[in-house]
Amino acid sequence: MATNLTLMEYMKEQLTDNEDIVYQSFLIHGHTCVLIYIESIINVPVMQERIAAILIQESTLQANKENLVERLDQGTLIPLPSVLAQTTEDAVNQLVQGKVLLCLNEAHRIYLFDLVKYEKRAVSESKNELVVIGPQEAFIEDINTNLSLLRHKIKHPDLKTIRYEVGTYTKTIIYIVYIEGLCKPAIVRELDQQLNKISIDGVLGISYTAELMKKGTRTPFPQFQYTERPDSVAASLLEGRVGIMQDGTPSALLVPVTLFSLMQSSEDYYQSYMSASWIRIVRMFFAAISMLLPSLYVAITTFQPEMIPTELLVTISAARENIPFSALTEALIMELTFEGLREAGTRIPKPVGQTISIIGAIVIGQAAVQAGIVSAPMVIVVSVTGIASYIIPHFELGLAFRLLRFPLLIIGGTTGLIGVFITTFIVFGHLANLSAFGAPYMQPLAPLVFKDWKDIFVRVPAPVMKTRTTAYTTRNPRRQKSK
Amino acid sequence: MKSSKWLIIMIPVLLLSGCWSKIEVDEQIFVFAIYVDIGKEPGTVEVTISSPLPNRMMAGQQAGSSGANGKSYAMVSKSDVTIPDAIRQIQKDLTRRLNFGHTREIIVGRDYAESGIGDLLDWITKEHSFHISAFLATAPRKAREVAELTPLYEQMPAEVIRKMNLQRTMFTTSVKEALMAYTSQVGFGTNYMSVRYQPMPSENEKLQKWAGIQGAALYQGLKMTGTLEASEARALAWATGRLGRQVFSVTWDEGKSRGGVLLDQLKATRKVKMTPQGPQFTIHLEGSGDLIYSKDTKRRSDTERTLMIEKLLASKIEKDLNSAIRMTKKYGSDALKLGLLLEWNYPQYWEKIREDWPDYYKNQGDVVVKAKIDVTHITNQP
Repeated sequence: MATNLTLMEYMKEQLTDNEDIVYQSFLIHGHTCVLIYIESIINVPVMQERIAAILIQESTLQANKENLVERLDQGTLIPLPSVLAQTTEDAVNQLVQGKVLLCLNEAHRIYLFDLVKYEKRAVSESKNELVVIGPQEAFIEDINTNLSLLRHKIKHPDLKTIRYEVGTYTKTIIYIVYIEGLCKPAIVRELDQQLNKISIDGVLGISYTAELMKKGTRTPFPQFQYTERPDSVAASLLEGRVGIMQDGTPSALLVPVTLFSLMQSSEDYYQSYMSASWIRIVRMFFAAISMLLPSLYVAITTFQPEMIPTELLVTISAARENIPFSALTEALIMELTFEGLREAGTRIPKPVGQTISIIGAIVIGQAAVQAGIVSAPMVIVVSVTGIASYIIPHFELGLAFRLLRFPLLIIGGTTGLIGVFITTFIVFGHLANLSAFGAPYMQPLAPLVFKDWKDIFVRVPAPVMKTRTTAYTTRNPRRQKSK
Repeated sequence: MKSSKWLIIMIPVLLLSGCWSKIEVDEQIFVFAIYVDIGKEPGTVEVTISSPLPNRMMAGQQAGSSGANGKSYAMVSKSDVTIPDAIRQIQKDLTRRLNFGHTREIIVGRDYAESGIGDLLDWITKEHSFHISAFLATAPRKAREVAELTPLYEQMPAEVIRKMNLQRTMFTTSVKEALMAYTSQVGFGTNYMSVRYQPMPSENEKLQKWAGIQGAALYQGLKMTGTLEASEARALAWATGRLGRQVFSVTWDEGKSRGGVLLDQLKATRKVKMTPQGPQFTIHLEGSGDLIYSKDTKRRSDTERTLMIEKLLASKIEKDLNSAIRMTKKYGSDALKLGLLLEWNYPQYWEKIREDWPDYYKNQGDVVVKAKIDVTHITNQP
């Protein structure tokens, strides 16, 4: 505490140039009490009712005049929980985080009341992870609302929430959530270690935190799974994974992640198992297409035309007759144009969006083919690939495949099918080698665990899904009690 | 060290690549059929290739022999002393590289076949992208004439010939069979084409060349030795085991009653048995099919008539095949590949008579034919 200045003068000195701070002073029983708060971030009605009104009332009462400070210490005066500040720096830090300070000048005490209330939007529908049947609500920026959405799904005391604060200027609150008894404790310890090591001036989104926590493997494939739906988080927690939720970001992170969990969507579990299995198979097929089709097409037409059935070959030759570029150059031109179109499309303001998409389709599709710059089969290949890359439910995995498509295309066009096969092997080898936070990336394909195949390529009906996947946990594997 | 390790690993991969030797599809000519004849001067061969012209095909154009700019296929012929020389002559005059990866048809002219197709088979085995599953057929005079046929439903003549072979109306001989026959002293039979002029309504009643199959050409070793007529060729094709649907008809009551049967399951089994006089071969032919036509003057009952037709048909086929086998013996061609059957069952015996097998077959081959026909459907009404 300050020595030669009074408490109030010290506080005012530290809070100069902050003109949205309100100082409300009372004289109660001879003590000068000042309420200091920032009006825009506290719950003003509650403050007025529970603190200011009571203090004003107290000043009119005659009983218990001497032990005002003791009553404040014991919490018998004001019905809100309070904490005593240790230093003035601490008090000032808490002030800007939304606490209401009650300074008693003569007694040299500062009490802190937690009345923080930020502006937030209402819980809305999930925009990026749509399902037809099933819960539609999504996380919002406020961490308490998110925790309430999560606790609505999992109501068990084993759901643990551990709080961290990261960032010297932003002081962002991060929660690690997990179900004790289901997840591997090593993961929680690892995360704890990583989060404590972070020292940075601010984290504004959960992806910052994710990148700061990454352990240094260089890979285009995502090491974390983002989700904005509380039911995804709840399902993953029940599988034994650990969730990370950050204040200010409407997404949560889930670790550890495998390739197949990134290929699943919550819709699979809300539809019948036959349709869900069919859709999963289609999804896997198109994921492979989004990476391989352009390179295979270029490699086969350039180096191995004997593999193509005769009549198709004649059609392709006829279409490529007057094209001035080689197949590889054509493919690169089309792919780059498509990428440009896609990026522009995400940033177009809504009123202009329709026009641009029509222009894109007409210019690239029709006119380029008719002008003889690219051939019609190439346009088909590129469009099918483009559509296929959107079928992957998690955007970050789709981005990884999109990225890999270009080196594969160049290798296919210069070295032929053998180059494509070798590169695909290298990619598989890299994937099989990845393991983030203790779970191998390609489980249950590598290492081979047949028990877990019930949820990968097909989805078995719910009564058959009796055990949890072993990728994330080895404890408590039985999910259902057999009757 | 890590990055240079990857560089060292990638160097052999890059050397294996073909990026400096790649040829685009529109810099290649895909040859669909080749036709080989004896050249005008003695000791030469004439080779004709037939390939599509993609630059004349507009996308979406249907089958038809002439588009707006002319025919969408082309033929080029050149002669030289050997087949590779002739091909080189052809390549010299063309702007694109020849690619034999899609060649499916080889037609040899009669003269060339009678003088021996050894050179052709030799070249085929050495040409690296040639498929030995390509079909082989024989033309009555010059192979070039077959190449000039008018394709009515298909886009190119080569397509027509290929589809004819695929329908299994007669033989479906491939180069592989010819090679096998050559190395094991047996023979083989190929389709014997026919070429004639015929007015076609779709081409404004102009006389156009029309190709068909008129019988079989018999080969022994590498040389063509004779031909068979259509009915005998059909029986022989049945005996080699790969005949498709066929219609047979028989007459009885001195020609006053007729019946026709469509047989669609045609099977042949061949067996060999060693007797004191030598090996005896038995060929069983089986077929089952539907009765499609019958005119019976005596109005017999259904069962009686069916039985009679079955017996008559069986005896007719036996007669055809016996006559075909007699012809193969006369021409000295083991078109049924009975030698291979003997080799499989009695290898020591085969070793002894292998060198003389053609003569043995011609003079002493003992073949017994049995046929059995089942008419399963008599009418298409319930």
